[in-house]
Amino acid sequence: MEPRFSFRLLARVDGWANRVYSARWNPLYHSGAIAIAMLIVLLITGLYLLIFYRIGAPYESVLRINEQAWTGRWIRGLHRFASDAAVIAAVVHAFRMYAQRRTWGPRALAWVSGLFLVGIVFASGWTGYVLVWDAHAQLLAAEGARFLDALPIFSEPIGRSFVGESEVPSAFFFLNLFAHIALPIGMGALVWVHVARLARPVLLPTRPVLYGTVAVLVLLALAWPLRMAAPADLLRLPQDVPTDWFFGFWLPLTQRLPAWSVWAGGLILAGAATAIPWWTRPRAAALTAPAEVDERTCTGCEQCVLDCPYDAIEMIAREDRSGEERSGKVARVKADLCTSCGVCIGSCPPMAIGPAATGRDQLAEVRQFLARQRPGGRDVVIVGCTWSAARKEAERTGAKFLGVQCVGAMHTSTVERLLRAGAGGVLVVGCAEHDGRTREGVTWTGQRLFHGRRADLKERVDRSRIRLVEASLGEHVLLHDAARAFAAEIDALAEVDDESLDIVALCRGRHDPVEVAG
Amino acid sequence: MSPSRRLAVALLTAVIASAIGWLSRASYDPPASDAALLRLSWRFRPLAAETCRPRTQAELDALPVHMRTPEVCENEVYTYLLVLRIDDGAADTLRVLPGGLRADRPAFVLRDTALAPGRHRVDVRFGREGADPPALRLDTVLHMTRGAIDLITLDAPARRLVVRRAIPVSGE
Repeated sequence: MEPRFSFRLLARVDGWANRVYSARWNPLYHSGAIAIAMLIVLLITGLYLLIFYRIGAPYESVLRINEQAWTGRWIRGLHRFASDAAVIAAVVHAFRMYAQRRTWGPRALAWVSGLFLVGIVFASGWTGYVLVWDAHAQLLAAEGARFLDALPIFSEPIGRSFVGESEVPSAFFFLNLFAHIALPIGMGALVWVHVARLARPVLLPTRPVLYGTVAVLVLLALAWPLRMAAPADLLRLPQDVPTDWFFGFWLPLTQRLPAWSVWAGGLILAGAATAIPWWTRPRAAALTAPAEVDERTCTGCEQCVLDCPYDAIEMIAREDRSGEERSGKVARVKADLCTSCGVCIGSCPPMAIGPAATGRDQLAEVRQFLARQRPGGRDVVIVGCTWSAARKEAERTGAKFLGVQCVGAMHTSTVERLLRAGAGGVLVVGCAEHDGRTREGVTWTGQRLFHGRRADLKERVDRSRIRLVEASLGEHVLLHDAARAFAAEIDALAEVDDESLDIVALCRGRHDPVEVAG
Repeated sequence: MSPSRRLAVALLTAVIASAIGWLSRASYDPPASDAALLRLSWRFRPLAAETCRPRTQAELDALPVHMRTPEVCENEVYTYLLVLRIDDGAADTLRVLPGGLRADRPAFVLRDTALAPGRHRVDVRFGREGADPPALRLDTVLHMTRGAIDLITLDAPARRLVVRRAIPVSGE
């Protein structure tokens, strides 16, 4: 099945960004964590601005802040740019989740709470811009009042507060300030809900990405400080208003439409966005059932509990302990939390767990693959998911390709079996570390192959014949280079093998073909 | 990291940062911002005629004890008419009703009319429906400027309509 357009688009953009920043520091992979980091920056800078803000003289107090050349000016700029960066990061994060179909099932809670978070960011931003009470604030206040007045709940239009009959009362700015502070505090609780179904949620990006992002925004605030727009004048129509397009992108459209149609359009959009988890859910026929545990084989080692990215496995007391010696505990999958990602397959040494298939089923597929392909001592078998760059690389170079559901779900015995059957090398191709659709799956696979994490690759297997490359769909150039280099290494190893075989044969005094045990 | 890659990182980061900086302050000209706006806005409590009569014994008996007030009153709230004529155009008439579902809230006038900048004769009449002459009238010539709002509002203590406008900036 060909990947969807959204997935291919995301992979392509990721690939471009990786070429510049490298997969490790690509900010696109950290979009969700960057959004949270920006909220923290907003809280810190907001505290400073709060000290100097006066609800009795909103514009004048912000003007004074802006005149503090050493502090206030760039802190206000950082506050603004961090809010813009939070919007960008949230949109990128949502698009990534949508494109990778990480929206349905148990992840619907994260999706819906994420939409609420985005809504609160916009509402909080709106109140923040109104607090400045410049021409931009006047525009937003009047437009907001127009929307509220379309609702049949006020006996007198809110918009009359901004017609110029009298000064806007301080109570209005107090209310705005209260909302501007209270909404982000409420976001903290919503962030907790957002990540509630994740094991080890990543709330902050890696340090280089975090420090780099903040440093760039500070530099921007210093090099290109914000200027004050003209103060709000209720007896003047706002003209050529400096607008933050990240928060006011909808203005050109909504100002030309009646308020009721904006409400209708907004509700339809919000409804459609909320329904995405149900729209993107695969049909029943294509749906992989939640993981199951073969209790007879489970040894109670708890590795699947440790590795599950969604906290969907727990250990319970074993009911049937008859017969042979068995552990007192056995794994049990919480079906309502399981996303069928398959990471548990690779974590289980006795191959007792998995959604629809276990490690044993994977080995059966490998046997079928070997029967068809029969890789030789100079062949590199590429193992990767069908949507990674692996398949394209195999098609381009004619390499033998073994498709798996996800590299993070691959049992290490698969690799051992391929090598034992005579393959010269195995190139395992996974998504980038921070991009895995199974979250930590690729990281665990690397540790299982090379660092002894259970279910670890047996010591007897030659690691020099295995390579793990992180290359998402858009990174075929990176993969091609890595595959070529690895193939050259395997060729060199094959030369050594051939010479060794010749020596063995000479010693035996014959040149008959020598059967090499795996 | 190679020097060329560092340069690419710096360039791309600078482009992204510049885009953020520009998009966070790019100017926007709202629709019709170059027009002149005539705004009529005021708020008032409409007069109401209260008619009371004593309850009959049958009515009193039908009510719970704590609700047996000796009189029953009904309010008839007057409606108002706003008539606006600009230059030689047709008169624009608006019926003004009290606010609230039970019509017990203050009434208000709020009407915006976009006009071309320049001189305009504005005639506003406002009063109870059926009352002649109207209680409030303003017949004046306004020199309206681009982007400015001329507000006609009620000076409640003086019981008359007045014009308010923005303090002119240089060039107006």
